[in-house]
This record gives sequence, structure tokens and C-alpha cells, in this order.
Amino acid sequence: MTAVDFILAALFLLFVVVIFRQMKPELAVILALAAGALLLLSLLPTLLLLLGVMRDIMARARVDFTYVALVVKVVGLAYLAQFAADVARDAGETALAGKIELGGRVAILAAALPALWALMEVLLRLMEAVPS
Amino acid sequence: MNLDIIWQLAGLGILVVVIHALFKTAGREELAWMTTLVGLALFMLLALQVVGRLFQEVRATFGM
Repeated sequence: MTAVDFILAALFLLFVVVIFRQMKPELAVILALAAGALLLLSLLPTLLLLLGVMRDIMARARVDFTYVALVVKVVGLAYLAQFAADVARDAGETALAGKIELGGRVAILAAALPALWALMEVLLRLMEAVPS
Repeated sequence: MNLDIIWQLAGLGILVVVIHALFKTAGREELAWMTTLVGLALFMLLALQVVGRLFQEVRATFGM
């Protein structure tokens, strides 16, 4: 699937969703979800490729794989939260969108916690090692 | 990218709107709202398949 195909499909889906929003806004929400999901699904193989390249580069740079995996996971979480929040906002539910974004932030923090902890440990050990 | 689902969803949606309008003009408001609800349920079932697949694949790709 080329980029042009993707953009054309996206524009077409946009048209369908807009029509539905005029006719039956409730259905438009679900349709927007499905349309967005389809577009993202078609992007995933390319994304997978890019992630693989990133992993190889990080491996060359001798970065611990757990941290690379963590970054990838956080990007995924951030994107899912953004997607859901955007659908909510398009449906006019800004409050709900805010809650979804908050949930995303909490999930990201929870996922990143071990790395933050490890960082704190290193810093503390550094501070202890230096005679003050 | 398989756009068939979108065709099905759009077709179902239009059908629901038409039947709803028909029942409303015929004076049977309850039937109209019932068809809308049933249509909504079917709509959701179809659409959530796609969304479910997306979330599965994202989980697999990003390792969640």
C-alpha cells in the first residue's frame, strides 16, 4: 500500500464519516473509530519495519534492550491514548477525551517507573561515591 | 487494506436511517427507535471487530 493509496483511502473515509455525522452522529463515532482503526492497521507493517531498524541501531550503540523496548511501548501507549482521545473530541466529548489522555499519561508513567527507579539508583550511588 | 467493512458499515447505516425515517412517517415511533437501536448494536459488532484487531496488532507490535 503506497502513501498515495493511504491518503486517498483516508480522504474517502473522511467523506463517509462526515456524511454520517450529519445524518446520525452516534453511528459516526463508531464509524470514525473503525475508519481510524483500518488506517492504522494498514500502517502497522511499515511501522514494524521502522521499529526493527531502530532496534538494530540501538543494538549497535550497545544500549540495553529493555530500555529500547520500554521506549517503543511508551510510544505505542501514547499513540493509542491519542487516537481514542481524538475520536472522543471529534464526537464533542472533550471531558471524556481529557480523561482518556490522563489515563494514557498514568499508563506511561507506570510503564516507565522501573527505568526511572534505575536512574535514581545510579544517581544516588554516584552521590554516595563522591565524598562531600 | 480491506475497505469492505466500511462499505458494509455505510450500507447498514444508510439502511437504519431510511427504515427509521419510514417508521417515523408511518407514525410508529417506537418501531423507529427500536430499529435504530438494533442497527446500532449490529454496527458496533461489525466495527468493534476492526478496532479489536487494531488493538491486538498494536499490542503485538509494541510489546504490551
